[in-house]
Amino acid sequence: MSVSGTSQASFAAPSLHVIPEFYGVYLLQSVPKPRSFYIGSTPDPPRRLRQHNGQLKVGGAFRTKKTGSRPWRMVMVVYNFPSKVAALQFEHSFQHSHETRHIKHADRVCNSRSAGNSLHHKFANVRLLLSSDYFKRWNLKVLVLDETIYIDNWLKNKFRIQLPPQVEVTSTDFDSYFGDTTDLESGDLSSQSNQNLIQIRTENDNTIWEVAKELVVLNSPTCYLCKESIDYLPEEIPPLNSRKDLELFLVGGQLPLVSVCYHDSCHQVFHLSCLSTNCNRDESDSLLPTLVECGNCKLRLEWLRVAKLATKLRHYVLKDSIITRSQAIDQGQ
Amino acid sequence: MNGEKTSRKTRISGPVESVDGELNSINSYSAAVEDGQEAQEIREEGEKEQVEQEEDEQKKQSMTQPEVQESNDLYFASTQMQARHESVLELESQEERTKKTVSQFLGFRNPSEAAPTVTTRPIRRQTPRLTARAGKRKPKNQSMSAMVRERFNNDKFAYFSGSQSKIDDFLKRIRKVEDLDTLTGSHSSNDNSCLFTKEEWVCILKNIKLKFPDLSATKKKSLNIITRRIQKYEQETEEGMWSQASSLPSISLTDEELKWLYDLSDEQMVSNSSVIDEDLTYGSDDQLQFVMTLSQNKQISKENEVEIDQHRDKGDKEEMADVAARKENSVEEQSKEESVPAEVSQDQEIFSLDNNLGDVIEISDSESEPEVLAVSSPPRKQVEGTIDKLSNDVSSHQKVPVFDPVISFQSFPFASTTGNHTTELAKEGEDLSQVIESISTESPHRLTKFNLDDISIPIDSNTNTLSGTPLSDSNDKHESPHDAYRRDKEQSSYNEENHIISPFKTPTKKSKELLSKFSSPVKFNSPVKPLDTPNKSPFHLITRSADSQTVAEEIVISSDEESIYSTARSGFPSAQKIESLYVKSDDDDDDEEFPQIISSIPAKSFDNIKKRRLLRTTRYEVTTNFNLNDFEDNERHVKLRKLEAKRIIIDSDNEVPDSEADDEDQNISIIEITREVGDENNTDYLSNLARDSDGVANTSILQVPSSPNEIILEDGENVSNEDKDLFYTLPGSQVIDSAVRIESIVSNEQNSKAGTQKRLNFSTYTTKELHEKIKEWGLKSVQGRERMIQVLSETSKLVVNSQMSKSPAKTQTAPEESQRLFKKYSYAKMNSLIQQNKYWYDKVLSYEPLRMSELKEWLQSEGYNLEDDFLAKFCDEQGICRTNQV
Repeated sequence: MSVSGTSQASFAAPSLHVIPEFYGVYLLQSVPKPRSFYIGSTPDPPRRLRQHNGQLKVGGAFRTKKTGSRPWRMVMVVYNFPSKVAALQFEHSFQHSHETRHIKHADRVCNSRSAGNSLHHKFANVRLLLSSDYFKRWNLKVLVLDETIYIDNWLKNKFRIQLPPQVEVTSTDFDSYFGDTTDLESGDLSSQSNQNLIQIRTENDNTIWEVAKELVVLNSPTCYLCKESIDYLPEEIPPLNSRKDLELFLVGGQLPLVSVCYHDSCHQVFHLSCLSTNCNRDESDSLLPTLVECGNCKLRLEWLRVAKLATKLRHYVLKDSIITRSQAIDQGQ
Repeated sequence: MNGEKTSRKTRISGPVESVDGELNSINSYSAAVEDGQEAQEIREEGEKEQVEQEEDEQKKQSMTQPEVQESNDLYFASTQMQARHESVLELESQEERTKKTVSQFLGFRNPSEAAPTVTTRPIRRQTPRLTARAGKRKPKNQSMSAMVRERFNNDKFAYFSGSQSKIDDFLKRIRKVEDLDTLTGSHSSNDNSCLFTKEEWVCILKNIKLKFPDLSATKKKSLNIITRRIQKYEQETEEGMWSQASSLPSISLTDEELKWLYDLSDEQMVSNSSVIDEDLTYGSDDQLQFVMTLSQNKQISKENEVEIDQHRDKGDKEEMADVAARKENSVEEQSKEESVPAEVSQDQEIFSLDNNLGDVIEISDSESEPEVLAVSSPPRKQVEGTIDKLSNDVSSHQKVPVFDPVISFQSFPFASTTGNHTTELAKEGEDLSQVIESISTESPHRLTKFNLDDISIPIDSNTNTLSGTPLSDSNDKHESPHDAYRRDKEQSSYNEENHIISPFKTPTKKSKELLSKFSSPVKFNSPVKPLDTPNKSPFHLITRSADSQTVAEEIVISSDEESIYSTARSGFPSAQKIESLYVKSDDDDDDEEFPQIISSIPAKSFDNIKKRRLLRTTRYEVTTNFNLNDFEDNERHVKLRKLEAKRIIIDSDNEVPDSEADDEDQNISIIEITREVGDENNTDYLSNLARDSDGVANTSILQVPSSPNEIILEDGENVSNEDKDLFYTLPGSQVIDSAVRIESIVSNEQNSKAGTQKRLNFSTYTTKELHEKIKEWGLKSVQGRERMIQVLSETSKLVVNSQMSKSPAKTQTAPEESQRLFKKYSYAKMNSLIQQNKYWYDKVLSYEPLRMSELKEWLQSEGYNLEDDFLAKFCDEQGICRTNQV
């Protein structure tokens, strides 16, 4: 998860950006009142749902407290956000689809707060957002957690809004995807006993992670593209007490973002920047690449995953040096 | 004619049935004939009645005959005289007009005996004046009141019909018309409340009796009443309040005043207030000052309307000014003289001859000029208080008595001949200075235009003269009473002087005489009709000229002051030296006494500001060397030439000159373009310019800065766009040697941080063009031209020249297209910037939410002060996550 430091006037905690493992924006629908919806974001949907339904002691939302509306069920989740901030931005746009700047006025489905509150509208808005200039580069994915809803609402596409092709929409079941959490307090994803998609993926991710860690940190690789050696174990990392410190350190260029081609056949190490520059793109196009090819194996790489690895690696290296706020307090700051 | 008149005259008494609706109402008033006072009013009402007018006219004619003859000689000693002359002329024309209207009204005559509602209304002597005045009104620049007046005059019946309130109003104002009496020569009777003199009434009576030998008892009775009343009026002295109030201000100076004025020394005049000092400073501001006062003169109090109207024809502001001055001086100057524009100062607004001077009868004249001298009437008590002061202590005229600012103007030396005069006169000493002050202070601030064409009028350089003092004070309309008083005085005094000074001097014989008389204050008394008022300020030094006292009175008034003040011999920096007037004076003493009259009015009038042409020279450094013939376009005042190929660094905003020494003369040519600022077609012209000189759209001239050095690489030819694009795509295109290349380019880029001087000069754009440009580029519009220029220039740093060259001749690219292009290039530039910075590149690639503040800071360090909205748009359209979090 991205570590965002609390910024106080006196103490700006250094926050190293890491792409979160999971962050999604979800759509709740009230079971007893199917016309009531709730939109939120969370890194952990099962936990969140329980909070909404009052199953957990802490948390929940005011709007979902009303007993008449409970229980809630999660209908849809948009995930794969690169940061918490990004997810929140999406959530806000989704909640204010009648006035968000990301949906052009002409395309709007909802035009006022009160109008347009059916599932059709909700889905249409999601479609619109996903196809907006801003969100379309993020490799966002959609989960629809109810088969019927998927067919009747999502696929029906009542408002005929085309999605960008790269967006994956999965129809699944909440429990199966997120695992059965009834018997767990925290609902930790990784501790799911059931074999489900997310677990598989997580495991998959885990393996890659291990590989990457080993390759980059332990070994001394060279960037496949620029042929520079990558030293991810700098001798001296000064204590990074503040945001400024971190910034200065990073500007120094000692720890450029390095990633690994996650295809098993390749596992090639390279600078993130090298890889991105390698891809052909129009000069005025976004810096964020869409189609990336591994320099080595030429297989297509999903950029978010690549970047996620890179940030994780960096974080792994620096996490000990970064003094969190609590630690600073402990040190008598 | 006579017969007609008499027949109409028969109608005197009682409620007369009239056919005309209006006349009915008037006649209803006639019932009140019993009340002498009311009778007067009624008569005033009846001014519409043409008959009376005719009578009046006749009488006036007879009385003013000598005056009229006098008028052949166009040399008036003072503007007052001229004004009077003009008023007479106007009266005449009025009479003619009334005759005409009378004939029209004849149609309405009721055949019955009781009918003729167009009866002899003793009043309405003022009407002819009014109508005459109205007739003389110039068609242009009519104020509301002027229009009303005109309407009134054109058809009184129509004006009043159906509007009782109008009639009431009219009557009220008529009551205030006092001056008519003076003009019509009823000075002999100081009784201004009476419309007819005794003689006139006798005549009327005779005619009535002739015509209607058999009058009913009631009618006879009313006739008798009228007769008696008139007699009473005739005999009335100025002791009564009403008579005092209604009488003209005394215009003769008492000994006291003479002495005072005589004693006025230069120093006193000067020291009386820092007026003069300030005046001096103002003197430097000649033109402005001059003009200012002129404008002041234009302002006229309502009260002065009448007189002004009368004088207007004379076209001599001097006289009018004189009149105005007199008016100003008189509390009772209810004759609303239109103080000649010359004379009226801005102050006059303050000093409004207020109708509210309780008991004062003022000439109600709604037909005053817009710039009406608003002279407020001072409360009587105060006035008298000041008088006493003055009388008691001559030297105290330097002091400023407590005075109501409102009063100010009225308290002019030219107070009426009645006791009220004293009050005003008392103030003169101080008021005048105040007046002048106020005038002077206000003058600079106002620049109204003249209604009349007379340019002559000297303007109330009242201000200029004495008012040294609290110019600042006088600025304040709520100044203390004494300030106002002083101001009044000064103003009035100055008025006179001004009149003398005016470029178009129109001194009349009278004024000459007067002046000569006034040469020595002591001498002066002789021709002056002794006034009753005890304390006459020097400003009452008005000689009623031998000819016609009435006329002369008004005319002279200002001259009094002029002469008086001329004794002071104040020095004024920009003053004119007026010699002529006094030279012609008969009295030798004049020369001694007034060696030179110095007017503080600058000699020359306010010319139009010479049209200046602002030229701006800009130099452009062009990277390519080309031959340029000197180009000069005189029509548009543009000059273009090529300078020595010496590198000239233009210090435009925030630009850091290239650190690299680029002394390749071959690469650089410097073009100097001199252009007139204010041309609207600057940029177009420039671009055309480029084309003209080169035959090619050489946009190098307008090159955007920050063009990286790589563009300069080529020699002697325009850099092609492909080349430029090449550089930008280098990072992406070169794989193997990219690192090296990148660095070189990075270094290049960094060297050319803030770019060169090749940039669109947005300051040459018009504001409208700037706005359009901003819209075209999809930027957020900003307030203010400077801001717009700033935004555009900064943002344009991103835009390489290539954008221009791609569509050189097409000035009409579709806005979307141009915006797309702009975005394309600017974003490309941004991306390249980011790409070259590892830190920032990593940030973007890792989807890290960019903190806007940090981004901005970094860009600034790179030399790009971009706007928030632009950055936001950039991020949004590139899919870069951003946050406002600090």
